Amino acid sequence: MSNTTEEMTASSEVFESPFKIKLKLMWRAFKENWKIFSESKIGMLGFWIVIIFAVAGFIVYPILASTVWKSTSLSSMVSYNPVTGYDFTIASNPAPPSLTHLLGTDPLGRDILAQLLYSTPREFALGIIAALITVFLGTTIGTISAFYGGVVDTFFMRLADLTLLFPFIPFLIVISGMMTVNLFMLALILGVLSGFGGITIILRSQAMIVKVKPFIESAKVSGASNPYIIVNHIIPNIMPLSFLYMMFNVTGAIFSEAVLSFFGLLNIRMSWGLMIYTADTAGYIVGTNIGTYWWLWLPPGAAITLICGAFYFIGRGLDEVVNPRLRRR
Amino acid sequence: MPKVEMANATDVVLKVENLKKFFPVRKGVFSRAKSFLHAVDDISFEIKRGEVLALVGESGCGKTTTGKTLVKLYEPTGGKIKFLDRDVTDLRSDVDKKWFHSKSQMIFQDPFESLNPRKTIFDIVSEPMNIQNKGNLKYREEKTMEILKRVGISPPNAFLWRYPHELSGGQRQRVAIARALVMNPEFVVADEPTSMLDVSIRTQVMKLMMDLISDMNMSFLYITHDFAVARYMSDYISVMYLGKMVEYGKTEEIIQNPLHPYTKALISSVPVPDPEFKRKSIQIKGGIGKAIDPLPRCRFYDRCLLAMDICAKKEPPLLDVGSGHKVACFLYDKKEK
Repeated sequence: MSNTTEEMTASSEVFESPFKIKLKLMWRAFKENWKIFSESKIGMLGFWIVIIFAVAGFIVYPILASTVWKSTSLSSMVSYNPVTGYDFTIASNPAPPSLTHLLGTDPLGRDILAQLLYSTPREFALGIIAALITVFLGTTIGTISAFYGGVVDTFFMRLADLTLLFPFIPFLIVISGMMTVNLFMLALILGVLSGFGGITIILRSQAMIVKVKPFIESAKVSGASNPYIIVNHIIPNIMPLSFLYMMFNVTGAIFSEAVLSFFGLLNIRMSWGLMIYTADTAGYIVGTNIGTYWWLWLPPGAAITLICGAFYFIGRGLDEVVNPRLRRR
Repeated sequence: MPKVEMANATDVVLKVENLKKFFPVRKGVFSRAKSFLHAVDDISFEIKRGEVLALVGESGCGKTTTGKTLVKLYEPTGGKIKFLDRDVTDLRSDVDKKWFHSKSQMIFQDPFESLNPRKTIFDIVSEPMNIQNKGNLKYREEKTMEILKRVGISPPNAFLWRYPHELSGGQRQRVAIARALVMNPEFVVADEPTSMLDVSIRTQVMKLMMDLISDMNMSFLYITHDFAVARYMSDYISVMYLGKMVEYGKTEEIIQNPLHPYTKALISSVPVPDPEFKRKSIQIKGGIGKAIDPLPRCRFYDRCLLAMDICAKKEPPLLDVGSGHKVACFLYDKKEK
């Protein structure tokens, strides 16, 4: 017994930075959480769909773009780029799927598959940046206003009310009329606008429930500071909701982008919404055309649905990780 | 030997003088509080090293508020708290706060709510060391294992990375005790730690706490409403009524010879496991009220069977009636009688 206490005092003198301890604990937690996440079927389904899209967009597209879809010179005057150019070698556009164009071409003679893959990383970036901004703002503001209360709380809650009443789409239309909205700007606007709104109110009410639990007092008795309590006790307890809302927000951001591109309001080179917009303005999704020219709207539509669903599934899987009570064990 | 005894006798860990805690009662949103709830009103006591003081009283009498004020969860409205010969009533600097919080701890009533459901047992038990930046991960792990083993969670390895919801009520309360004791505190407030447990594990946990108190030589403030528990656990008993301390003394003295009418009534309500035993049951009128701006009279006046005229005129002081037994009642005040 005395031997072990001696060892303990000896080891306590070896200084190890709290940061390093945190890192070790985080790595250990990550390994455990990954194990739990991988046991959730729905989460893994979403994860693999996202991986497939990511591989297609970030790896397959650059390779194909530099080999198959190179800008080829058709003559001394005209060159062909699959994403933006017109394929003169085909008699009539849009052309159905063939060996040269696996998913056919659109009314402007561009390769659908090339457009689809070209847009994928941009959709990812948009959704994830917007959702991260939203969740970061929502969690921070919600927790802080719940914890400190008073004037801070009142201010942010009235701001949230204002944001909720804010007409979203008209605002974006006005903004896009005033200046050129690119993808990053759109992500920023979507993230900030939804970050101050509903998610803040929901996370605040959740934080209010956590705030009065005895384990908060227990931490205070041990000498914990307010930031420590917020970061270590309140935020982990509202994380499930945060995660769920993050996944919803990825979905929401991609949808908003699709809607805005569909109306032709964004200054973007190419996106899934824009692909449907092109097909629509050329009159190919009207009446019986919708069945005949399926390759114009089905690939981008399916891609939007799949990626949004996949992020939602990941949210469900993450929920199982952060909420121990959902686990079947 | 007498020298050591002397040293022990003067080793006062916690000394409370005229502690007051008032809560403002708000009428409107913008109006300032005009009346106050006197949750703890002018109580004084001291706890020596290795001693257990039981705070007994009905629910709503300010026991928990007293405990929480002593570990600085609430700021006292008035009075003085001296901890290890230092005035800790008003802790300003971070160093002082850190020092105080590393030496004092609290065990909460509800083991289902006092452990963060998202943290593992290791995180929970080692958190005080984490907050206080004590030792490295290996030291924390060893210390956590040691204390878990000590509170009867064995083998500790099997529990270290589990979550609170995977544990039974008794195990959780053991974990809560382990967490409170991991920094070797000098003073612990235990707020009815056994009241939420099954009767079958209650005695085990009480015995564990008794062992730990004598092993680690801590001072304990044990908050309870149960005289049987207080008798088992404590060296001294202090009876509270509506924020006032009405009686104070050695545990056996209080139980064998209660003086205050309220204490008498409380003790008469404890069941005795003897069918032959007939005891005069003392009934008191009414229920406990709220001490919002109380009149300057005995707080027990409305319910007391032996109330006298003087009781309505002024508050009875807490007077020593011999050998450290103190009671706040005019029945025993020779001057007034």
